Amino acid sequence: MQKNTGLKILSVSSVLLLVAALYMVFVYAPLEAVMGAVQRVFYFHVAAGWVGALAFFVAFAAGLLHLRRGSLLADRVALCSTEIGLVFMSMNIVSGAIWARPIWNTWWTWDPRLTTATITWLLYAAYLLLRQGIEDPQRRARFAAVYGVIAFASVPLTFAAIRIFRSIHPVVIGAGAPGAKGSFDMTPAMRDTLLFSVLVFTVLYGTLLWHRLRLEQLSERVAQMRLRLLQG
Amino acid sequence: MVNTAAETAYYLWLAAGAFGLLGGGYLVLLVQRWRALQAALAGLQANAEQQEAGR
Repeated sequence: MQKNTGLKILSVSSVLLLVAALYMVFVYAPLEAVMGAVQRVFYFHVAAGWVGALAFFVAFAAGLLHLRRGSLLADRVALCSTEIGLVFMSMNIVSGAIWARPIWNTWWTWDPRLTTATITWLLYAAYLLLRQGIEDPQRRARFAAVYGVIAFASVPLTFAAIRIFRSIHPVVIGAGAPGAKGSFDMTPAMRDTLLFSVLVFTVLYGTLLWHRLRLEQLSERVAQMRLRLLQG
Repeated sequence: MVNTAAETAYYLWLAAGAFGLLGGGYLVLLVQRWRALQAALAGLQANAEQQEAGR
């Protein structure tokens, strides 16, 4: 594999941006009056959730592209994006539970947002399992694309869950839910920190996707070489 | 609600640990997969060269 300067620059930038985001979360953003420092979990919690949704959207778009044009590159993008999305979605769910313990006095409750987020996580974990079960690459790509397009329905549902159903989960964007516990009004510094964290996590996603796609490319090279050797 | 500074620190470290473990764990996994594939490729290439020389 050849050295990739662009990817190297992007990787270093991602690390530096992450350090800057940590500075903003712990130094620049003011202390929230009611929740105290625990509220700081919120910045990366929301950013991780955003990247999860973005990654699943990319997988959805790549799935549609594969179904339309039969592109195997699109299938590769869908696989890599889903894998990264699952990692960020896990961060989102786990950090939410850690925030909930002191604020809601429980690690977990079957609230509409928490339930739909868990369903989304399970659907995409199943996507990876489905891929493992099909040998033929063309068939696997087609099945995964159809599954990925259908599974994406859970993403807008998760976003809308706290706006449609009665929920104790705070609403950050738009009007707050009346029954929410742990809601707060963001100051401009808090908003800046949130937007910066979202930006940093998006760059991080792009970097990881690039790395993951290179890994997939290498994996395919190995598979092809093995096949060539077996055929003699 | 959080009552003490120690309690706050506990939850913040817990969150940092979760982010670190998931993010760091995934990165380690990617690096390990990359190394294993590079080793496999080198092995296959050596095998192919031997096959060529044997002909």
